[in-house]
Amino acid sequence: MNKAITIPIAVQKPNRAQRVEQLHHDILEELAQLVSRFLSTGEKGVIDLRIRAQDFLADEMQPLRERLGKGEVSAKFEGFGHVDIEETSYPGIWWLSYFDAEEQLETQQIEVAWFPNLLKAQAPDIRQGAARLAAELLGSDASPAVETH
Amino acid sequence: MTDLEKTDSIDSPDFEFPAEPGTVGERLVNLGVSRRGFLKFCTALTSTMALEASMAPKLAYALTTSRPCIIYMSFQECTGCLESLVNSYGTTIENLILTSFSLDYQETLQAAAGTAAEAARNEAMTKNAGKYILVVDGSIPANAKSGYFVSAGESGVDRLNKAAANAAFVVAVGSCAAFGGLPGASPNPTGAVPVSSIIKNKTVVNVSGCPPIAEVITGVLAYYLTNNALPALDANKRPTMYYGKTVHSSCYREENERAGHVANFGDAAARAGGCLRPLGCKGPRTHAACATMRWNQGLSFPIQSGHGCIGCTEPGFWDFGGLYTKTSGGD
Repeated sequence: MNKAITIPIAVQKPNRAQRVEQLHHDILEELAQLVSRFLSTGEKGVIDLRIRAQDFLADEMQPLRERLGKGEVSAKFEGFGHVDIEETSYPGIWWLSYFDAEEQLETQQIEVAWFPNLLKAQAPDIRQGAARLAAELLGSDASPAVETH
Repeated sequence: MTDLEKTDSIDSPDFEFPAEPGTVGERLVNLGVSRRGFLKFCTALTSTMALEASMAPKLAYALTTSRPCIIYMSFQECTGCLESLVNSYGTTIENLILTSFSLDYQETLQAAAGTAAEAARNEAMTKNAGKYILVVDGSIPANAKSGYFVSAGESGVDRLNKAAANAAFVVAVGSCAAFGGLPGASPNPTGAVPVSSIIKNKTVVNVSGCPPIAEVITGVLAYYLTNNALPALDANKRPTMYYGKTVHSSCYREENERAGHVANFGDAAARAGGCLRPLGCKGPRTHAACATMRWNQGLSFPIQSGHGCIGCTEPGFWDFGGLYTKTSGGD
């Protein structure tokens, strides 16, 4: 039994660069599956990098961001901090960077959808806006002058 | 419509947050916060607490419809856990703990004192019997007649038993409540024991650490709020979602050790990321989320700042031996 213990066994673990590369590859594979599922079922998907890449630094996700490239659309949401929203070069795959009010990065998410949910105006907000607009019109001094000829 | 269907439809353009009276939802409506802003808030919150992204809409729904009652009681402790909870995070944690939940009793934070405070606690426990969450920090002298820790004329054991009797479950926050901590360290003059040694007929969740990471404390509460169930626990009653891995296995210095780069006190290797195990780092046998969630809004953690892990989330860590004594084993 003691002899068995002396058998030299070396477990080869990948180094950090290899682990980062493997993680990026895994995420890209998952994105391919999420896009395929979205096209066939309409089901959206989200990968949260703060959770998925929790053993890594935010900077180490930059090569993945570069591999996904930049698409045609970008937007910024402002409220409770801000969110930078960019479509990647793969339509339907969006990169969202969440920042808090102190400009600290909270998380990065990759969303698979027609467009990120955050961009969509919500019906209750639209109704409140409509009410404000109506009040604005009521409060104006007069109706716009109508030109006559 | 079931609750699940309701939460699934929360991202529908037609969905209206219920905004029940007394909830965060009502407060947001009154403040004129948009639904989009609220969803952003919930997404960041779930991510910060290492909860799956799919839980964000569920959390949004839960925050707008309910406001669970929390009774937070302190025993033999230093208030470090509460400091961690309320001071370490700018906005979201305070929002969650102080507005999402109804913190009905906390001796340090509440304005009331004396009999008025005790009456408020009793009223909250009666009103929310079977539903309130009992959060405890500090360890408790096992002998009710020891004379150690008496508050409002009651022994610690009596106060804890009374408070836990009608709680939904108990969260033991900090290593004192979870494992005895400093009061329970040798020679343990007060005969201090952890909460789970006294409360046997109720689920006790240990959120250990000296102190625990604030997001871990609130993450457990948020998990319960969104799932109406507790997360999976390890053999030490700690949530595996936060305590499933050792600090060493997630540490950025771990692979440097494998490459032969280890640190000595004050040398260049220590500054260059060499593994701190030779300096007594307890990371290899300490289960915690410090290396992944980090502290101060994810800024850093002790090892990143150059000091080895002291193993504060493990049972009996004050009796491990010297902080700088090299440990064997672990991963």
